[in-house]
Amino acid sequence: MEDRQKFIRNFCIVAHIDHGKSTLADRIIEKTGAVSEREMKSQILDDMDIERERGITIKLTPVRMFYKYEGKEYTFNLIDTPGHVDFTYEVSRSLAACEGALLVVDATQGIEAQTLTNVYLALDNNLEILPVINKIDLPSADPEATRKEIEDVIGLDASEAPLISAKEGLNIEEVLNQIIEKIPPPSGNPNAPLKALIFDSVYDNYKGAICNIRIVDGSVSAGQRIKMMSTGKEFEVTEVGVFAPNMKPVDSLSAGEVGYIAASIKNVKDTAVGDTITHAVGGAIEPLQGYKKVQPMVFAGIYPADGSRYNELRDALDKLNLNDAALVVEPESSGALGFGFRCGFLGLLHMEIIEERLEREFDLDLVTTAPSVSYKVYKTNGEMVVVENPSKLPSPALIEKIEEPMVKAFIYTPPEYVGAVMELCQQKRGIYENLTYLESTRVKIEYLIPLAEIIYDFFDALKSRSRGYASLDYEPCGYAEGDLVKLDILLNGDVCDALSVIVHRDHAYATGRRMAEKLKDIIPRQQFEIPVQAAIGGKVIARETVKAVRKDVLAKCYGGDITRKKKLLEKQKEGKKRMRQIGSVEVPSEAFMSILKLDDN
Amino acid sequence: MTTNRGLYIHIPFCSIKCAYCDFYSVAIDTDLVERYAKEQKKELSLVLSRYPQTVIDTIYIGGGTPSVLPISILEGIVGHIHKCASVNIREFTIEINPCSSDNLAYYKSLGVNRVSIGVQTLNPQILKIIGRSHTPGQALDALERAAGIYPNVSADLMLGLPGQNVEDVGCALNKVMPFVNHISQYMLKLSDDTPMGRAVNGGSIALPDDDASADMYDAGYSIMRQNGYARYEISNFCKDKNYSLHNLKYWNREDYIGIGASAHSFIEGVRYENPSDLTSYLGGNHLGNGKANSIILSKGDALFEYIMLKLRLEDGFSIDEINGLFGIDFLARYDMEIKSLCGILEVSGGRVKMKKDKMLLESYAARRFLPD
Repeated sequence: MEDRQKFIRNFCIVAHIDHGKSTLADRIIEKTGAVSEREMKSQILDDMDIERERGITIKLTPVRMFYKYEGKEYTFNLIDTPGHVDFTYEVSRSLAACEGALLVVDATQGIEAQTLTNVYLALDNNLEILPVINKIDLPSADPEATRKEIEDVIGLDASEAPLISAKEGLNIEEVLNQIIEKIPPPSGNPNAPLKALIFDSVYDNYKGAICNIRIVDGSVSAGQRIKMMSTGKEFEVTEVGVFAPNMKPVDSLSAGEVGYIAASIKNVKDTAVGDTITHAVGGAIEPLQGYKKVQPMVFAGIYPADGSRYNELRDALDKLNLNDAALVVEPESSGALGFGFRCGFLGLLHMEIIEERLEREFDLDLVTTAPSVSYKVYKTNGEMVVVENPSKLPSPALIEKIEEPMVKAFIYTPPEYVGAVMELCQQKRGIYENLTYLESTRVKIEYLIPLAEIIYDFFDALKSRSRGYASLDYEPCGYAEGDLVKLDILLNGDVCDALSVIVHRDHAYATGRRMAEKLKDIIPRQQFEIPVQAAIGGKVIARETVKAVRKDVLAKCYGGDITRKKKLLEKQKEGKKRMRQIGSVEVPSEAFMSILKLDDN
Repeated sequence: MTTNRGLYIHIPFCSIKCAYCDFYSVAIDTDLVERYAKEQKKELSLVLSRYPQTVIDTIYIGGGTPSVLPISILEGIVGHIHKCASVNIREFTIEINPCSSDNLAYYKSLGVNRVSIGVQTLNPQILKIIGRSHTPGQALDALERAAGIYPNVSADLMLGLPGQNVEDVGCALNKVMPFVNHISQYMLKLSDDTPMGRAVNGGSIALPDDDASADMYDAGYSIMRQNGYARYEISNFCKDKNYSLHNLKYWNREDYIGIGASAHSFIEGVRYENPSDLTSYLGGNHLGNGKANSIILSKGDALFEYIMLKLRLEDGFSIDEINGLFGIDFLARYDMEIKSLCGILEVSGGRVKMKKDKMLLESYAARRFLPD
């Protein structure tokens, strides 16, 4: 190892959602002076408004810092990680770019389920884990119990875990010192052929798609020709640099360092997360391990609430796509909703984020249909069609069989919830595979479950049945035949294509009844009585009625204040803009997502 | 050439403020009242000098509570109207609160020929909850005296009050009808920044829901119809075509001049509003000095207003009239809106109106005609 490498530490922070990950990151950045106080805004790594509001990290923003310890200057690269199952693959790639992880545990809450998935991911990647006990300033903090819990549940030695308050800036230096003492410096040979791991990519209007990388072996500098090992595509490097925390060009990056490469890459899809970059000539033979092509798992129709803004929506999706290679976009049209797009997402959170960004950053009002998965439909004529939109399912008479995507679900739970979790998995058509006691307090349950069951309300149900302790991770696991039917919803007697869903035959009656009930509550009363019916193959299985409205009138306009009356009507009309006119019925846009909000009882 | 115009005089004083009221009013104060009356006279002179062709044919003194004004102040205002305006009075209305109705008989000498009495309800508990200071007995007494003096007496009744039901509505109507030839039966519309609005939002008062309010309206209308009162506007009912001529001007988009703080005027197609602030008004910020807020209506605005206001009337509007006034082909232009409202709008005999049993959906219909 070169001397230079000895003074580098690459690490990330793993924590439950509100245990103080971002606050600790802020403090570390402050202490090392990477950002002046003037630039410091709370949670600096969380770039997007959505991230700051929800307190979650979606996009990985690395930052480089300097810290003096025993007379020597060290370089720290902090790589933030997203904390949601949709982004597990991204997490695993950013972990692969580090040698260590800080495990932040809230001294008032102890270890929580969500933390564990990422802890296990970090252990899988052979990371040195440094426990840190946070929020010791709170009266209800119990650091000793927390220490013991870390040792019992995860099996880590927590005897030296720093007791800190990230909020108050207490004992942060202790954390910094332990990073140096305990996390190993990066190994890797700077003279070997280049191997750089892409752990994220972003689109810059001037520089094109930029790869955020960790150099594992070799070195890279501007002017060199590089090759993406998964595709063989070649580019000329225009700039290499580091995050300070904004992009800052440097002459070269070599083994152990974290930074970025810009190479006039036009499409972010050419900079796939997990891919290995090497030199075009004399490059590495074998890529780094673990590259997976990211596949969309969940599909939904996205339509402009105002049909005339279709082009704006298209442009907005194009722009988001530049930054988000996992988003897949295809134009489609619906009888109920007009022209829009069928979009593919990594999962439900990813879908919500895209929706929110479209609404906030592009000021679009959207109507989104219920999410669906991608079905393989084998027709009686031998043809196979892929159906991502339930309304496009061929007539039952033409269908030989339908296959649906399955996932292997890994559920981690304390033993007392095993019964409840298994019951849920059975209800969701899961097939039991395995059950392992990891420790006395932790069980891993494996089930094969149809993805469609996971994307609706599985995660919420799992949390409520395990008091929040169970965590879920899943990976695609092929296709399996299912006895599936299309459930149609009729509003005022007409099928509303955007409300159709594909469900298992055994669940169809219950789902149909609950959807009709839910829609009855969501659809506002209108001038006519509106029958809301659920039907399978033309046979009505449930019916509810939205009663006709009887009163919608403003008070007398005595004193002749006509202007105020008109303003009130305009305000009311504005409130109704998120309604879609479907035939003679006005339907609020949230109705299309109602299948996601069906109560479990 | 002369133009008939209505005259509205706003009296923004009350002895107490009702819990549901969001009209502009302040506590009564002798000195303030005198300064206010003086400013109103000044405003009226100035407005009339600006529109000298005006002939005042209806007067409406409203509030607030005009009946709290000393009679000398009212005499001064009415005298001033006669001094500086051409008048040809067809209707002269004053609003009366039952608890300040001592001067009821005097108003006749001022030329008043119609009184409108704020009864609201005859249920004593509800009167208390909504912050009215009179008893049911005082209201009935005022009605009885008024009926002996004036040819036209109107009662205001409210629907959808806390704790109110269909029986309360019928009971009040039956007691009120012997004394009046005109009734305003209107729904409570609470704004959030009133004491009652806050109480409802805070959960300490519950209002009947929309269906219950609609039941009360239907029950009230049915009783009135059986007793010879015809509906001519959503909330207004009268015997023998004794319409409120002044209020009809609002719905028919005819000219009116509003004098006083927060008063509204509609003159030659332009709307004006005086400030809702007594200090500002007394400082001369009003239509008389050309300092009212003016709203110039585009043709589209005017067209929408026409539809919105005329749909409140039992007879709606004539298609020929709207086409002639705005140079449009109404049926072609609004084909989509008319079709989408086929359950509640009636288009027949060259007229467009709300269906008889769908009057309470007037806003629902009007919104469809709002320009984008």
